[in-house]
Amino acid sequence: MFSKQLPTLQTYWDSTSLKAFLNCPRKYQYQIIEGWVPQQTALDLDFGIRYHACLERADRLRAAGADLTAQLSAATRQAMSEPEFENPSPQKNRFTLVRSVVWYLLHHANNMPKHLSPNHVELPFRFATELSYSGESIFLCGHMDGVVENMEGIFSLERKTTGKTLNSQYFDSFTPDPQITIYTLASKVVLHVPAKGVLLDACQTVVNFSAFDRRPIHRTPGQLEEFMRDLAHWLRNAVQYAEQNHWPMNEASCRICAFNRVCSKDPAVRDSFLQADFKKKFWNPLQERTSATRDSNNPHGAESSTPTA
Amino acid sequence: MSSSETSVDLTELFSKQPDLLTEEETWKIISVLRTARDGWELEKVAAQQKGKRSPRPSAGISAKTALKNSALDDLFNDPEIKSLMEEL
Repeated sequence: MFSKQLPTLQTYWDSTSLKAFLNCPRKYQYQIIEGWVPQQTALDLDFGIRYHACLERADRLRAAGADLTAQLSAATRQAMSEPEFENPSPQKNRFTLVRSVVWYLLHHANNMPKHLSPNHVELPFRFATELSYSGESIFLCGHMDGVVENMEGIFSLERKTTGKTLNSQYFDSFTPDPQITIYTLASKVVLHVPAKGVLLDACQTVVNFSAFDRRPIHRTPGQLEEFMRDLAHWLRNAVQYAEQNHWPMNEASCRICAFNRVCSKDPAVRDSFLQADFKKKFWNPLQERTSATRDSNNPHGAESSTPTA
Repeated sequence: MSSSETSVDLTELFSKQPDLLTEEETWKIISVLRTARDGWELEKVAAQQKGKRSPRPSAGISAKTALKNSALDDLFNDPEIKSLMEEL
């Protein structure tokens, strides 16, 4: 996922990397280039990956004509097949995962997302931007949960797990949002379907219950064009930072950042705070999305793991 | 059925080695979770209905204003204040 010529320049960008970079280049350096993650982030990601895998199992069965009984059985077995999380919380643990999967299928029993075809389930994608570095193209990439159709039209499907209440404020927070925009672009550019945006299929997971809501998040052609223009600007900045090997701190974002307790220390002692409070889990957007996606393998140079959609 | 009761019921199944879980046991888990969900849905509806029936401040008067009015009523009903008002 990184350049062969400039090892700190990412050449395959997904929304997670881009969000970290837009938030703060120093956060991006710690999280994406060096692979440091706070414990809670690791749990959120692991929980989300397992939740996706279980519902993907149900999606594939449903797309092939299986009924709810078969979907429930397969998804529950999938959820039960994994060990307890490394650092579970009262909100996110093996029990709340199984509960969320079963309750999702029961909640949406009569209103399941309708995939365009059995082939439109769990789609890894990548496509080249207009930018390159010394002959190496820079790509956008990601994993769609599917492409679905409802009465309004075609949408990319994106499942999310959260502790937040699923109200308008939650859904409004995805406009603007690079993931929604990239997935809408990918639907058009890679899959050649006229997607109107992303159908956000959300699950609120708290200690005593799991709740669900699903809403379309739209993108206009003008918004997509604007994003690509801005992206070119930000990626040129990334090239510059990589060349200088300096990732400046965006101090306006520090108040809500998990790395605050590192960046607030003197530069000379930051490494010891990273080692003490964070763990190494490299994010590799090209790796297949299983519970083993986030392991401690360094993704620098490992870019052939997933086929293009 | 609360989630804590559910997790107690399922403790044995959750502690079992995943690949040894039978189809029957899988359905026991689904059944217990379905019952828990039904219970939670009922609790949610009951809480919503209770919310509708609960007394609400009159239109256009906030709770703070209602409290102030109530305090003023007490003041005007005070015998000393009443006599003063009558003198005035």
